[in-house]
Amino acid sequence: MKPDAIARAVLAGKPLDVPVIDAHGHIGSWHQFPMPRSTSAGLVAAMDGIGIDRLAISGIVGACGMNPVEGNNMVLDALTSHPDRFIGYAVVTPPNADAALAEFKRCEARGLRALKLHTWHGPLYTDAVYRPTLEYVNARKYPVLLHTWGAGDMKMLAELATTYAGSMWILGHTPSDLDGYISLAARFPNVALETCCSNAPFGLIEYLVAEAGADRVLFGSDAGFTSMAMMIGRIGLANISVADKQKILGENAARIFGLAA
Amino acid sequence: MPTPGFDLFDCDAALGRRHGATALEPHSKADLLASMDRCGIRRALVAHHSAWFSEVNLGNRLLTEETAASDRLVGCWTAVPDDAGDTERIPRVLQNMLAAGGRAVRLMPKTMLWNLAEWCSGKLCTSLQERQIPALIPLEETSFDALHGVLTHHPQLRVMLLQLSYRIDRELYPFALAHPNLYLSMSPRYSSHDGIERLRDQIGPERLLFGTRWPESEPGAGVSFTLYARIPDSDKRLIAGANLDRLLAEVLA
Repeated sequence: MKPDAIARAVLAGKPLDVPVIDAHGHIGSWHQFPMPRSTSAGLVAAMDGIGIDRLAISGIVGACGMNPVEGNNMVLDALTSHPDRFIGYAVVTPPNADAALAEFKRCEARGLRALKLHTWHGPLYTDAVYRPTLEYVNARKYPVLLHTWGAGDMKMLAELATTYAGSMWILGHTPSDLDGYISLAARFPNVALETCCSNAPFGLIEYLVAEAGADRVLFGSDAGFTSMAMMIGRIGLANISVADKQKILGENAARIFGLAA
Repeated sequence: MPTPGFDLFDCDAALGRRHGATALEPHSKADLLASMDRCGIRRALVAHHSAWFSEVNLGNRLLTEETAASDRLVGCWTAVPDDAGDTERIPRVLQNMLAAGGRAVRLMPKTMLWNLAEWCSGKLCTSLQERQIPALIPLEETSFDALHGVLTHHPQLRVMLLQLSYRIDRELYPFALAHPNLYLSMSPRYSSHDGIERLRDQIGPERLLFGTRWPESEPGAGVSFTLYARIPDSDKRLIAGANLDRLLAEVLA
């Protein structure tokens, strides 16, 4: 098979010459392992080498930690220092529903237009603690990135996609329950499948395109936490058409985040 | 075959059906070569799943048949301690492997129910060290403590650690700094952000090896992890294949 232009760029280690948006990233360092280069400058340096135009980030100390305000402030600072390179997810956490909504509004006032929720905090995403924030986000059609991990969460996700039909629900780590999440995407047009997985399962991208369609798949790397450089090759060298690669790498995310591709 | 700017030599691939794999997971020599072609990989050091999921001698025989007369696949036999009598004596096994073109061995102590402690693995490690035959060990098959014992007893043994996790840097860095004959595969799940750049800064490029973890993982992941590393091209060439080439060339046949 003759490599297409995207594959040729990957094989040369050169920046991709197509729009690329990474829908799943983090900024900051974490308690379980070091992330010393997951600063705004460190992330942008890696993005420049690969040709990633924008990275959607949440603060790791909020998404998987006890400090959502500090994490959100890291995101806001990154958007200030690199306004054209980052998309910001605000993180809200238990236990106070009103405080969670207030924190989202604080971030929205400074430009964030997306929400990230993580099971690390315990409650189901349908828990009352998230309801005011989800109602607010849904009314404004902001996208929501969910950490999903194949834990029998299909009923909950279907309820979210139905109740909050104005939001696009981005399922992070789709490989954790591949067929389950593909079936969910088939039922709900407001569900998108994000690709990051440290195992980099063989053939995943080809399977997603065949079963869900390239329009429903988003490139995501879990950047900062893991490697954009490792995750990009799964798509850039996948056995799919160049048109499908472009959808996954950037066009779909541009549509969801309301950006020019 | 695509021709990338770097000569990619995969240190972490295995033929044969893998226990627990889906029906769609590739496993044959043709599958491997097709993946290598798609991802610009010129050569691969390959083991055989049958050695540790069926029977060691069978796996090594199948591997020899698959790699014979191939200029792209180098055999990596699987070795076990020989006292229980299910293989020939280790020196003979290694001699047979070298005669068949193999240049490294896989050690799978957890799956194959043996022990890396000196009382169990000592003779095997001594033989490998004498011939400078690299020993490839997935981290999930052992522990840093067990490996510390191996490399303390056999400091010249060349150990390639495979299938690292991105979450282990607080142990991996001091371990690699303590053991100069430890080599690290950059295959998934070592998907640490700037992982190659940071390791190269700490331990140098000479002990980092391009790997794919085929067929469990998509080989494009290992390829782009290496080729997008922001390091000098001279270092990238070492990691892409030259380090592995050197190690295999230094085996005392």
